Amino acid sequence: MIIIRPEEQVGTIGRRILSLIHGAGYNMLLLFRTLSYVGGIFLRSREVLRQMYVTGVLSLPLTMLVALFTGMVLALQTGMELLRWGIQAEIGTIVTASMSREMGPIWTGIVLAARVGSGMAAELGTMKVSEEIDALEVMSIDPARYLVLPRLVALVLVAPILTIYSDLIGIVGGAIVGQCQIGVSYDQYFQKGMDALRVLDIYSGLVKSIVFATTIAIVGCSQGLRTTGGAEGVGNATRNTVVISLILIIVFNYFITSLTRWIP
Amino acid sequence: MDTVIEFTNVRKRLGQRQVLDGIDLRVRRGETMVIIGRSGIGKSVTLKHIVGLMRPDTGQVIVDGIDVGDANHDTLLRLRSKMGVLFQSGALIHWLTVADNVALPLRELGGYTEKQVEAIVQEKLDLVDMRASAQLTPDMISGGMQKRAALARAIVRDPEIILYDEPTAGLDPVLANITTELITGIQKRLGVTSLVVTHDMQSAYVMADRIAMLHAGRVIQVGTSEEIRNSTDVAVRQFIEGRTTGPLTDEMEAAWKK
Repeated sequence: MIIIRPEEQVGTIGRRILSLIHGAGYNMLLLFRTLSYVGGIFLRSREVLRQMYVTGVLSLPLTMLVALFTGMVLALQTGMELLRWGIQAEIGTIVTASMSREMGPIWTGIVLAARVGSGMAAELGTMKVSEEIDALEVMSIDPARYLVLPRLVALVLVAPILTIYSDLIGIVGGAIVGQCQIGVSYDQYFQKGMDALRVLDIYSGLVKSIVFATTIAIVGCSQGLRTTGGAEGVGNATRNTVVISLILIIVFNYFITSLTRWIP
Repeated sequence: MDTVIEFTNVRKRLGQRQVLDGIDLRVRRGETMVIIGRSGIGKSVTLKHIVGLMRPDTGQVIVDGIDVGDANHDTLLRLRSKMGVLFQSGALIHWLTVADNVALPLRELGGYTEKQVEAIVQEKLDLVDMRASAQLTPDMISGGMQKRAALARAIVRDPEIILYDEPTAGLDPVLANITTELITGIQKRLGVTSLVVTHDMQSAYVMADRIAMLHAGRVIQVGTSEEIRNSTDVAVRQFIEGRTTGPLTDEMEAAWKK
């Protein structure tokens, strides 16, 4: 039987806390360092466009699929319940409000974290273990400017667009279920939806998507740049990116939603 | 000749392992110094200290009068502009063509027109005989060609110091000889200071003005090719003769047991 001494447990907890603080500090420094190069982004426009294609266009089908079924399940779950009370027409209100305020930005963030954030960590992690990052540094090329900036800008530009698509597709998914399974006509559904939609909801969803995109890009790049070891290190970086991004998305979502309550 | 790279009692621990344990080494301006030693002994770690990718736990690494361990970001950038590094894997940026890889430092750091960049890139590619592969990406060329392309990138800014990390590792004997000739040719033509890390003794004898043997985290002997060839140190003899028994293997076994 392995006996772990109390002082070892304390040591392990202490190391984990220090590692968390170090990671958070590194991410913040990386963000600020990257933002300090934003003025020169036009010199990197080709790479930004390439990244927008990789992160945006190639993520569109998955984002749409997830949004469609999210809207459909929202309509089905709430519709069945509302049907008992005879107010099933309200699913238009519920699905539209839920998609634009919460579900659209959150699910888009989750898809981007899983697909794009992990990809960034894996690509930069592989570059790190194959010494490409070291090569950039000895050529006096800052990886924050050369690698992180185009990825961050591309993701911040495409995330709001993907979120709007996600909102729309989710609402349409809800309408299909409403019409086919709950018995709410498209007219009724969309009328209720339009009544429920507030400009603030759309703005808060877009702000969320920008915050989530920044989080995913910085966490992904930071994990990639800090990769150690070989294939196992790249695997760890990829896994950590998804886990940390998801946690931060959920936490930031709560705080942004809380803040919007104070806006009249 | 004045000293351009100077290690004074440099120690470095990585995890539980004391990789460098008091290294003292001086490289003179314009010479080719080859560092030999067993795999994993800390040769690449030594190189990384010179370019500031690693900092010593204790001791000093002075390069061209600058203490790398204490250098701030700007000083390090200035120092690195005088150096070129050939990494073991080549470390070419995987989505760029060979020509774009060579042009990368010139384009990123500025100060050149596109016409000048193209002319310099062609000149350096000619030097390593890679002009025909200029538009290929790294995954389309062999390991030897990748190293030549990486060498062209390392010399594109006409550095004063070139560091080579295992330049012949993973190459067949013919390619290894071609790479060795290329390095000695560049050394003669550019008159730079070169520091080569290798365990390929054949290449080491050809390239080196002086050879330093690294063992147990220290430099145990420095001398010309002839002096190393005729060394009486048992560890040096075991290494250059490639014998399976001796102090190098004894120490490894002791480390395993520990």
